[in-house]
Amino acid sequence: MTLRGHEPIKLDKFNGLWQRGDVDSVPLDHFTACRNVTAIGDDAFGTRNGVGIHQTVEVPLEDVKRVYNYPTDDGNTLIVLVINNAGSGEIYHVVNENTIYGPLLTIAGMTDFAFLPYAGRGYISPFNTFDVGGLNLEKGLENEFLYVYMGDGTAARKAAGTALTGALTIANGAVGNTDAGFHLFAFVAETDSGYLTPPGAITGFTTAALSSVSFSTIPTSGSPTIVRRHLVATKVIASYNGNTTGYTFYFVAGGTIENNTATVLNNISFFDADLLDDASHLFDNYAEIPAGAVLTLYHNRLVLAATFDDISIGIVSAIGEPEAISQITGIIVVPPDGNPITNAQELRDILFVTKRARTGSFVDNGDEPSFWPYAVVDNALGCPVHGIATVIDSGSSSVDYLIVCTYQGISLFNGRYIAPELSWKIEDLWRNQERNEFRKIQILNASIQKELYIILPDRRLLIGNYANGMDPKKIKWYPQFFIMGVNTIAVVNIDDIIIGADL
Amino acid sequence: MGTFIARTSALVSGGASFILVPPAANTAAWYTQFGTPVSIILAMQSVLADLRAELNSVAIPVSFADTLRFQVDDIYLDGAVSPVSFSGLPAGFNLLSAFVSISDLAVTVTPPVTGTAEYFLQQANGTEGEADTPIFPYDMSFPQPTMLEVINNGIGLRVAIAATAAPGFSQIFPFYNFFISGEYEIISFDWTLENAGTPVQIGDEVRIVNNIAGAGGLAGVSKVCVSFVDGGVLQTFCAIIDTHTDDLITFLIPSGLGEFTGPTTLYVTLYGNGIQFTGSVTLQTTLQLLFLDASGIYTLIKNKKTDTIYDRDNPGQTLEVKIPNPYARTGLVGG
Repeated sequence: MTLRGHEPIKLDKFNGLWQRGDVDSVPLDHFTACRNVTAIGDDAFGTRNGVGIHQTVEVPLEDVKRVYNYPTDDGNTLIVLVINNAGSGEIYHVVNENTIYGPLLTIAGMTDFAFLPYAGRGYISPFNTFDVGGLNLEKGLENEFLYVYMGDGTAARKAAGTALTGALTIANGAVGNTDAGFHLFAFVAETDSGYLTPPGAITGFTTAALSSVSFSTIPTSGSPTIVRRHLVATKVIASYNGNTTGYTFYFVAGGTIENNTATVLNNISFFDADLLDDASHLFDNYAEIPAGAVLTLYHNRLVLAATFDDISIGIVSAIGEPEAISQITGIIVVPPDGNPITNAQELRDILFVTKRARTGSFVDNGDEPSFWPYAVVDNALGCPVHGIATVIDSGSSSVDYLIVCTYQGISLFNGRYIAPELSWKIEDLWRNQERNEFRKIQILNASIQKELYIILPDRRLLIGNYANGMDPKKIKWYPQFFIMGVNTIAVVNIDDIIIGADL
Repeated sequence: MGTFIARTSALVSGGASFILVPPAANTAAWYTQFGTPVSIILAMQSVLADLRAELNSVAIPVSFADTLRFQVDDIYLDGAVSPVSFSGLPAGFNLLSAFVSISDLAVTVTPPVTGTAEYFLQQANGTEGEADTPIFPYDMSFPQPTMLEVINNGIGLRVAIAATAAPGFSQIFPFYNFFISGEYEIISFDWTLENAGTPVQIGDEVRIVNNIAGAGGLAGVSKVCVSFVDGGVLQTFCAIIDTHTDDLITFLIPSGLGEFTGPTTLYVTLYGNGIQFTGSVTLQTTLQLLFLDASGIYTLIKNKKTDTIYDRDNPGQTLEVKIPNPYARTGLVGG
């Protein structure tokens, strides 16, 4: 062929990286390799966006291991784990570029943590990676617990709490009303996070008709987190057998002390028929909630999973009471297979639970969590601990699907994993990642930019631009390299992309 | 194919009471100064408050355990009298096999004392061979260890004695010829680092080239890793290859190297794809790796053309650095 007859090839469309199969099979509008470039418009590409500092304080945080969004009542903030010079994990609250609280919590051996914002508070569960026969597993730290942070810069404290102790002094009060007979009385303490302790200082007393009841020597708590105490009582016990916790307690209307100092509550009148709000379940709650590697919210219940001792169970709180978790009816179990639960996420009213290579589901049937039915969704695909895409400020669905990092690739999930996976074009890149390091993956869906951001085990940031469609053949992949060891990512204020880096 | 012996040169940890005598020329490794036979319990009596006497008199079981870790520096090739250091190994040195071995070591419990007495050879700290076995081969299956790892990880010896109380004593007999030996080959390529010795840090480009024009061979490399020693521990990180031809490999120093004391010597190891060559070759030329703390919290900023990082040496200040080597290669051009 003469030069005159040569038909030039025009390259005017660039659709990102293609690393799948032989290099000779790469389409002309894709790259065989690229770094630090990104999509511009529909078809072009250019140098990636630069990074700027997020903190302007004199000593900004360093050696950052994990960043979560922490939406508070009045701002979109960050909760951050760093490793201090002693090698311990420290958690800070970064309110904005020049305000930082902490350390809120310092725990030796904490290399990662699960986080759940709830009603302005933050629930923190420290966890670590354990080498079990050469396999890295994530589970809660031994002898560690779920912590609650109030969002105000004060140190985080253990969630839940113990019952008041002591004995009440009870006497007939002024003229009033009770059903005459023997009752058990007790007080429930309430923390500043709304947690109700089990009834304590249980004391029996025989009330008289036409008399109210008065209480003194009401115990106070040594914990500064107790903000009020509530009177609870049984109905008349016809034949008392001495088992103080064997009867049903109810909250008594008008029996609340709005402080942790008063020791007297006088002239409380009630009829047994007024006792409606059951408090007996409080006896069964964890006083200390073991740390786990997974935290999520489902039907306004806190779900924690993968504790040090029980890697295949989840514990589920009462509705609207994230620290009230029954040790009897709050347990859900994924069939044990030696692998811990790695994620729990609600989609379409179903709680999907993953292990590294398994997915199942629980459905809230209106009964206690222990009675929720479990169903197998996929016995081959699951994901690592940070492997479900975060949408804006929570691990969540967007447009009725989840984006999940499985061993086969980055997949859409709408109740089943959709094939081919989104990362079909870069299958070789994905499979070359160290499988035992998949815990380092974190994925974020920036819906406004129409981009996925994925931290890879090899410390690159993989960007998937889906401006042309969330479709395996239309998404454009661009790996990015930073001189800082990028290992965590978050989005605040709708579309500000935050990256954290360790040493 | 040739042979090598890598001998111990110093005690790194354990055995505080040992007094080590250097090897005589090429005949033996370091050894204890004690005669034959001698009890380690006596040798360690300053640590253990004369355990032998205690064994003779007390009525409760006693036990003793200690791990001796040795540094390995001197490498003798093919029976040579003079050693070479790792950096003095010939270009293309490729490890084929390696064994930790020891001569004459015995650990005993002498009747009427009863109990157990065992020793274990160690490669890297915590990697132990079978009990009372004087040879411990390295696992050469993929990914096989590099000579750099073998040397830098050192060797060790763990002794464990659990004796019931009765008159008598336990002994560890003196040992000699505690070394690593094995076979190697020279791969007939001559690869080197451009600008060897140049200080580099995370994100800097490294270029591996052929010293002999047209000799090629780099196409047979499947993986490139960089290593450095920090606190006596070899740290290895694998890099992402940017350019990969028969005569040239380029890559960026990977990020996430952790905290280390710099500058430190950076080694580059090439792993074969099993076709042109198997195993690994650590280049004899090295670089100087500088420590860079760019950790922290950052924000991606649209259309920003540089990266701004925290300047940890000057609190409150920042540094502007270039975005590391953007590039894109199509299947048609430069593929």
